[in-house]
Amino acid sequence: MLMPTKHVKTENAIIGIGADVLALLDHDKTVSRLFHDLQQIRTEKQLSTIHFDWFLLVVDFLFSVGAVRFEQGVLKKMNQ
Amino acid sequence: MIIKLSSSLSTFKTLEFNPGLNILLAERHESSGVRGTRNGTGKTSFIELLHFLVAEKRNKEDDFHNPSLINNKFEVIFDNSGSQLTIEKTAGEASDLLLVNGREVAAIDLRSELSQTWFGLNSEITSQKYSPKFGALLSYFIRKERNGGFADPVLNSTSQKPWDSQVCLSYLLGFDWHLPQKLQLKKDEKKNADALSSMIKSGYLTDGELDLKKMQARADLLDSEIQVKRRDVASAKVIDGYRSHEISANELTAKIRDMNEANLEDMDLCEDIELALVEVEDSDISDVRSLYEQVGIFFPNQVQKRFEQVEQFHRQVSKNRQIHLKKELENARNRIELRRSEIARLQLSLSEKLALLRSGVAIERLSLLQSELNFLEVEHADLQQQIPKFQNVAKDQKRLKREIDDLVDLIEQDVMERSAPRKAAVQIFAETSQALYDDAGQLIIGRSRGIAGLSIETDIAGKKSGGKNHMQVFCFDWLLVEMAKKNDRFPGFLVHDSHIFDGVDARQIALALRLAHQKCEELGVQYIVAMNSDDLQKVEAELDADFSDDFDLDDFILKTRLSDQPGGGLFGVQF
Repeated sequence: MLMPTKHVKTENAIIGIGADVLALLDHDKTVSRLFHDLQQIRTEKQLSTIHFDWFLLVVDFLFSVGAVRFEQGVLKKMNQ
Repeated sequence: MIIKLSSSLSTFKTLEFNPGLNILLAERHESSGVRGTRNGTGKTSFIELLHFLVAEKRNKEDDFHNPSLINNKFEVIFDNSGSQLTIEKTAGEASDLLLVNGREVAAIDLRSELSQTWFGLNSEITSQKYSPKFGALLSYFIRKERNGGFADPVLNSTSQKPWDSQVCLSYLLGFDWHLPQKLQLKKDEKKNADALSSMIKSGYLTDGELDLKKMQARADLLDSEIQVKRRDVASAKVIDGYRSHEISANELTAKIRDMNEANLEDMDLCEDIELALVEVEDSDISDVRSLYEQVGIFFPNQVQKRFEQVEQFHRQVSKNRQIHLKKELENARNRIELRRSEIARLQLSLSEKLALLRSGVAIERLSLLQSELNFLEVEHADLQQQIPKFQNVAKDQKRLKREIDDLVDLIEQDVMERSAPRKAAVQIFAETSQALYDDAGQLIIGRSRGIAGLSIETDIAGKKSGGKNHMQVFCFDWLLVEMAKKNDRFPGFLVHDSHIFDGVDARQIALALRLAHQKCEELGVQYIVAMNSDDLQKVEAELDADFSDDFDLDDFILKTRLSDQPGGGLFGVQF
């Protein structure tokens, strides 16, 4: 789930998507906006869209390693 | 009789006439040369002048409206069995002035007076169609060469209609003139029926036959169409600004359509959000635990949060997403609701507009309806009028043909049964012609071969020449004088232009003049004849050689003579 495996490609593994999400958080965004932007770049890259519960695990992962925080309804990168 | 002809024109040669034979002489002068003719002496103008003085209609083109004669008074004195009638007429630019016995009268009144005194025609007769008329009767006693009056004895001019000749001659000779009159009326009717019939044939036709059924069917169809149209017109309510109502109804329809489309989009959105909400609910907290364990395995040094913290974060984010989605959902649903109520409102006003548009018409539409209705009504009325006519036309044609045939038979019977005038006419003509040519000429009165009606034919002995033809006219005219006198339908005079003797041998002219003199004495009538001087000389030579009686032409030549010298003509002026 976290790491790519024989059956899960990098672009679908949480760590892979996490990289995309961090890249999208160039400024703080609401959860829905961030989810929307992610779906959009995946569509542009001709990747399948992902379910929200999978996205939520990606954000959970980023939080657990201290990469993002959630404040007053918006997600922020830690170093911002 | 004619007593005197004069004019206010100083150069005019006043002519005075006597009872009986009068010869108006036109002299030819040596100085006029071989090519000189006597044209311009005024013999013909003399005839024209007599017609002008009693004419009813004003003809601005005649000689008397010519610049050299206009505004000059011309005068004639007639004697009607002892009472004198003076007619003075002045041709003017704008109107002619007519004085009778010094009183100004209308030409039409003079004419009705002369109709009565000369021809015994009262207004009851002259007002009828195809009755004997003054002008036509007078033109037999004063024939005009210009109109071809000497071409055929029975015609007073080449343009005289056969019916006119028949009516006039029947009247003068004492036959029933009502028969040719009636015949002509029937012929008119027949002509109308024939015209109608040919109209039918070019119109409502089925295999060359008149199709009344077709016409009736069309009329019936029109009848119901007209009723529908009439109802439409009567119920039509004209709406002011119909066009703008129409436009706003279209705009409303477009708005409603746009809103419905927007609602469909929003309903799709709601469905999507509901699915997303399900996805949020699907996120299981157990997955968070297994993720946390994996992070601890792969990045043991990077884990900065305790599991409880991650779990709390998970719930917060999930809730945030849920709240957001729900808000979106609510917004979309609100928009749909708002639009629905707006659509309902628009639909109400649209249906009002549509009801209004349905209830009435635009003014242009009404006038279109009206004109369609008019068109139908005209055709209908036309048919209603024509159908009965067409039903009868075939019958009418047959009836009229029968009636025309009957009338021609009646004309024949009339002539046969009135043996006295018929025999008298035949006898007079025979005697008159015999006096000129030794052999008696023939006058044949009877029915025509076809449906022309009364036929009067003349034939006299002698060679086939213009002269013989003129002598037929001469004999016929004297027959008319005698018969008309008997029937009290004679003006008292007969006037002949010199053309009556054109191409006639001097011997026959001499005989004709002697005969005329005898007839004048016998009947107490006046005969005025114009002659050329060279004809006269030849005639006198004939008379000196052949006749031993004391008939001397010099006794009858008018004092006033016309000549072809300048100023020698009747008017003394050239024009």
